[in-house]
Amino acid sequence: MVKETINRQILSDHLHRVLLALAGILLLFAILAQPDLSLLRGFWAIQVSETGLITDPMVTGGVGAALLNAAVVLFLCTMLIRWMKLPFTGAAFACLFLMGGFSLLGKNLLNIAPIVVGGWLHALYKRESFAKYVYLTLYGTCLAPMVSFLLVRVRPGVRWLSMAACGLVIGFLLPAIARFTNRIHQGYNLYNVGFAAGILGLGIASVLKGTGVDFDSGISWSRGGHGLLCVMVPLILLGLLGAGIAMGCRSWGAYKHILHHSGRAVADFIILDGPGPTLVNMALVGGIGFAYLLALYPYGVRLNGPLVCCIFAMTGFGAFGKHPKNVLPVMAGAVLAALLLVAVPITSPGVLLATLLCTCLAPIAGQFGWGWGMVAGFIHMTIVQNTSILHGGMNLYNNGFAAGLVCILLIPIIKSMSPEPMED
Amino acid sequence: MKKRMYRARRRMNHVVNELSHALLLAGSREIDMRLTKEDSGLRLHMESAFSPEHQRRMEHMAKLLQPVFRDPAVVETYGELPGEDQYSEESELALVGQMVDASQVIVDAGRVRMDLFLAY
Repeated sequence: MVKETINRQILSDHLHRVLLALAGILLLFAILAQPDLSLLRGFWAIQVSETGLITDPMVTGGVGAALLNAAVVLFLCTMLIRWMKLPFTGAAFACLFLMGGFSLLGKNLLNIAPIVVGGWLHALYKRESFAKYVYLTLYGTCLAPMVSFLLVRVRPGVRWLSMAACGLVIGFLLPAIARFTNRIHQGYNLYNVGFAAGILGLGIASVLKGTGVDFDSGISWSRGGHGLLCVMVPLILLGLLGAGIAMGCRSWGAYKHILHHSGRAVADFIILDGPGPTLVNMALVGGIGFAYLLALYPYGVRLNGPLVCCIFAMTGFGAFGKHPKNVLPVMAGAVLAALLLVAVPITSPGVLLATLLCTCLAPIAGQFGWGWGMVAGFIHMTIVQNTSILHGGMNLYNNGFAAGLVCILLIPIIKSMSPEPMED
Repeated sequence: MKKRMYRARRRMNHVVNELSHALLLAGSREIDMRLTKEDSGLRLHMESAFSPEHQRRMEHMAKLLQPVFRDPAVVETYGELPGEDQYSEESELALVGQMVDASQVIVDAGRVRMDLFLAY
């Protein structure tokens, strides 16, 4: 029993180091990109700037400042999980990669802080340990643009108060909604909090629109950091691959079991299959996203903050539900929709993000087969074009919101059309 | 002394629901179950025979119910899922393994014995 506890601790420590190494790589590339004071100036500019659904912090503060923002957010969130004495499971990896990734697409220290405090107040109100609410709270920071919006748009005298109040309300309410929305999509949407946040965002945005607020956050999309990011991303993916091999995944036989899971929540690959195969799977899933973007290079697609964010999101959920077999059909369906629908060019920012983030519907392909997976991806691509207007573009996990709606539409149909299994 | 039992009771309902489903699916004809309300939590004992062809499935279930890590944040995040879907039992059994605070599962040839404890 004691030996088992020690082994568990050692394993958790190894996984903790993987996350710290990731934060270290982001920091290193931040310094390489902006090796002067502009790094810190850019970092501050990112903190106090307005963010939205497709806002690239690399435009606001520079490539290095955006990477510094991601490194700091990732490091602090990792330490928070450690401080809460939670094990570094697949759920923790997914959550932390999403935090790091979305710090390249709208999250920053200043706009996530009040939401985290709101989550802590929720735990306090429920008289429970905050450790239980950490993932829900961190995922809940997807509504951070709403906090930034108030910081920038409200008149100087009350802006800090209004942004803090908004963040606290979001952090306090979101855990309750997110627990409920799980039951609606039954675990087939891996970005559950995105769905919950979309609904809460719809409520808050509607109230604010009623008072005359106009959500008109524009799109910012950089192209300048492509070369550097093309070095950083493969380095991270190869690092994960190497760590996976070092942790025991040295053959196809050791890895292939992951491909048998449907991916439906809760499919924590670190718990189910161990850290070695999981880290290899993360590298492969992230590699699919990276390869897809590189394939579009001749059509003008260049890596930037939002696209690296998508690669991080795919990589992180490679520890919690996604694997090559269940993400590819969904992506194929999304690409098909983008090709067939005239209004959405395949290289436009929203479509690129949707193609990579629709993989939150991977459990549908894992459970019901590649055909339904493609249908899910196809419908997702069409629905996601129309959801951001509902929450004013304030929910960074807009694809999670759309995926929840896809599940509501599709899961009952799939189930009613699937024959009931015969049993003895 | 009054305790906060509501959540434990709700979760135990999910646990019983999932486990009875898994056992019936594995060819069980009769399930012995004893649920005890103790001072510090709820204790569930389940015992059943199953069809020999489901031996590996039961061994896999035992692994899922006795995970290497227990992550309380996962339970809070996904705790409402068990019992919602009867298609993929693996993910829900994995969640049951996360929900309980202590578990011992013994799988013999054609028979499984489970002792699970869920603290208040």
